[in-house]
Amino acid sequence: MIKTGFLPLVALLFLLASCGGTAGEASNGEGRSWEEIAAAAEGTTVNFFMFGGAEDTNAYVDEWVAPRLREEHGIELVRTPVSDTSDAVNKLLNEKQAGREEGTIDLLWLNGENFYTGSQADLWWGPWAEGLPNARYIDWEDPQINLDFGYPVDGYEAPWSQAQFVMIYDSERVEDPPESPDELLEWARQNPGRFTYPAPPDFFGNAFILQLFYQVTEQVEPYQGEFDREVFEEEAPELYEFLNELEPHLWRGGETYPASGAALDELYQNCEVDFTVSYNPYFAQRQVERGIFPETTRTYLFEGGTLSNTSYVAIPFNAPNKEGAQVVANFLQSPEAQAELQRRNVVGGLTTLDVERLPEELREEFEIKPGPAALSLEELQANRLPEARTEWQLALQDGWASEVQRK
Amino acid sequence: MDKRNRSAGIALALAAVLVTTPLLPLALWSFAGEWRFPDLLPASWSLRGWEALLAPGSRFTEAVLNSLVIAAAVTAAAVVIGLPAGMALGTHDFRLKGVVIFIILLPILVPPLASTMGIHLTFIRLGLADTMFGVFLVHLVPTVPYTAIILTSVFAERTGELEEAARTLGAGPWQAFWHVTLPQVAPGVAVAGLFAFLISWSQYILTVLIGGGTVITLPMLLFSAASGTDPVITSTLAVVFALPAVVALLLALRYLNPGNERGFLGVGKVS
Amino acid sequence: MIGERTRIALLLAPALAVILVLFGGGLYAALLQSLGYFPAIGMTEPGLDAYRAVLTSPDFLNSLALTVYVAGASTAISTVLAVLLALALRRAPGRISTALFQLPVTVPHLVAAVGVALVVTQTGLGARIAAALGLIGEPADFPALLYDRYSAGIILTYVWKETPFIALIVLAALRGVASELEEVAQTLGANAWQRFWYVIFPAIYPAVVAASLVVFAFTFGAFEIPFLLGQDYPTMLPVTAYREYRSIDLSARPAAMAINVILALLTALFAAAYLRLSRELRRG
Repeated sequence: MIKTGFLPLVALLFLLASCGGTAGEASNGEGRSWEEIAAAAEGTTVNFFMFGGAEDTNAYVDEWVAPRLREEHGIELVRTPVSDTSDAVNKLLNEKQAGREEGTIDLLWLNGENFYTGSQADLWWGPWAEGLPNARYIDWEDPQINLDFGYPVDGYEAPWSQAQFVMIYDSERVEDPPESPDELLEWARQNPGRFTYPAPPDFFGNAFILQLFYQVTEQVEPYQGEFDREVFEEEAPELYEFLNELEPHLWRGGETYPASGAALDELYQNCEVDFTVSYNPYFAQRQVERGIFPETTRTYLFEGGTLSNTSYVAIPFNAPNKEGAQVVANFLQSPEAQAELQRRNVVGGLTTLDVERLPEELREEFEIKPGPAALSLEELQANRLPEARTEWQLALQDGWASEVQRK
Repeated sequence: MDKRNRSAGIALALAAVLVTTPLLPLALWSFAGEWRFPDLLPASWSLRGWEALLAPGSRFTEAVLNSLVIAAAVTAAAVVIGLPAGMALGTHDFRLKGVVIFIILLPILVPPLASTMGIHLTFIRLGLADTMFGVFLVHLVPTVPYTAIILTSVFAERTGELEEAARTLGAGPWQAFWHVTLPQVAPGVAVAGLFAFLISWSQYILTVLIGGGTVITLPMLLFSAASGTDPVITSTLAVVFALPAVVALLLALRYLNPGNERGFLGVGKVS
Repeated sequence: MIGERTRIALLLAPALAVILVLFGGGLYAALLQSLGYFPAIGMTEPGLDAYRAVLTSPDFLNSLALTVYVAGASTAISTVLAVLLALALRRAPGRISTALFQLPVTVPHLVAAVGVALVVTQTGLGARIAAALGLIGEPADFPALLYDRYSAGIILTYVWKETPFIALIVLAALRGVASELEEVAQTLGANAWQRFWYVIFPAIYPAVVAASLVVFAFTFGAFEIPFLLGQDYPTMLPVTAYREYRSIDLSARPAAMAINVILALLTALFAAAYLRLSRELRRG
């Protein structure tokens, strides 16, 4: 039955099997036991809507997750790609508006402003996430987990993976990569046209300007709390001034910006620019190993640390198969699935589990041996900054559009 | 005359180069292995793109099937709906004919995107969004006007004498239509149908809006590939997506009457 | 026996029903939503706020200007090229030129966009040929023709798609030009330019204008190519409307619909102009 010969994996499967049986007290939206939920989920189809632009993550879901769900839980997982997660949220908003009680999305991969907007509009079913059997491996006390871009999760979404913002460069063409705004400006002046960043509201563009916002204003704290228009209007112009000063030295003289992180990656792999960015700290390593990025590619962090966040899965208010969605979410959080996720460096790249909570024999599955293009997990963990609350991010994006892009 | 022939030949060669230029890299990339700047030809060849389309989870087969089913249904419906309209407009004169033509012409020039965004909420309320049937319905908007207009000109070129003769010989109106009219307009119907098929096949944004990501068609795969970074996958999908156009061309070459230089697809626009 | 008028009405009914319900109904719903009145979703206070906001916003005006520019440039270039090509090819074997022209007409716009992008991008076929000829050293030396301020990629794709479309129509119109008339003009000493201007042009002019109008209206309202090959700001009107529509901020919805209504009104004007023109054409 079990085709793989690896002992640790067999152990993981055992663990999983036992999970299914024991966590009967789990609370969930309707107060049913986990056995009932799992039984109701058997033989059903789960529609998983997720951003479709990450090929390796797609492959992980299609080739690794889906067959195991079919074999172990009798669930048919249908992955539906969306070009932007906000399209799925928009779809749900439309359905809510039109009073459509039975939708088509069972499970959605998301975080940040999409979760926030959906929460405002009551789009999420729950709470359910803390009741999953595998939730016990998650540190729900950690603000990196229980706050999604500063907004309380409250059990309406289940963590899937951890990500951290990193800078990627070609060490053959860049000797000493800039780590602060001043250094970046200086570098761009000396190397016109060799740097750029994706245009917000692209996910990576948002991250880049927030990262610089922290650095230019030299503070992080104030942006974790409630949005304060006064503080924003005092601080933000400093960022826009900096970005406008940077603009003429960017790729194409700042006349246009790459539309997405993927577009920037393409410029980088075609040697049109010397830097790209990622939210997956091991992305560069993988691209080098595949021969897509040059061998001399390296990853580094801006000084003072970089943004880090968790991505989650949520169940919409009108999901036709809420039981199946929970079983899938639970499977995604299983040590087996999380170890594979981290091995493949997909989703956000890092596991969301608190490895300390796992049985000892499983922990080594989660050890990372970074290649030359990547950083060690210790270095990453020592340099993490929280994301700002979503309202700050939205204000920054609006401001960027009017103060930088259109000027 | 010689000089004229030569200049026509040069123009023809030039036009051929221009027409094939954007299609050439698509064909090359779809079989390329490694192809870095500034190499003019791929350094190695591979079937990676084609294998990727057939890999598990790629949804390529599902997308092609959906595209074919929708386009076939749209073709049938647009012909059945457009044929009587073309008959009425092509063979009769009546008050308000100008208004009717204007109404039928509108969806050809006014982007159906505008009306589809408007109707989206209603489709959600009626449960038509996210279904193949809903997508089929919105595909009728850009196709029915074409079949109606093409068939109008087909009917307008006929005199109707044969039907009269048939009726005089005792044929009922249905018999006359079935045995005389239809065979005569059959080539025109085929052109209209081919047109409807190509328009539906090429449709992207209407499918995205109404299909809501649940109804996956070929252009959606192509669009998301084109927004990504892999020219091999993008080109392979593009080649498949262009196939019906090539088939249409071959059909035209095979069946086109040499005198008819207007080309049987010359009158319409395919998006 | 049913009357002739009933018969015509019955024949037209299915087509008109499709257009009035699915198209007209959609535009009507867009109008209502743009006015903030759509009781089914709790919008009950009609007003012109969305139009006021849209028409005074520099974003909309930039978008409109870009749309007029791209549609205008694509149409002008395609028309001139098409007439020249048709003139050069009128004596070439009909079958070959027709087949050649038909390919771009039937190939989907999306394929054309991807193909043109692979030719004109800074590491594309064009740049590779330029590098092989020693004209450029690295990709950045090649002019930026994608996502650029002049929308070169969009216009090039449209020119590739629409030139053959216009050329086919012009070729058909050229068949109506009596070659005896041209020969007479030639014997009378008219040079090539005079023959074109006084004999050929008057005969093909209505067809050229009608075809150009169709191309202009189409490029004005088409979505795919500007969405794929356009710069991030400003964007062409259909793209702007779609962006507003897919925004997760529901308050942007009336603005999206207002842009749709404006787009529909403008293109309906082109349709009216086209109809008038083709009627004059028929009268001769």
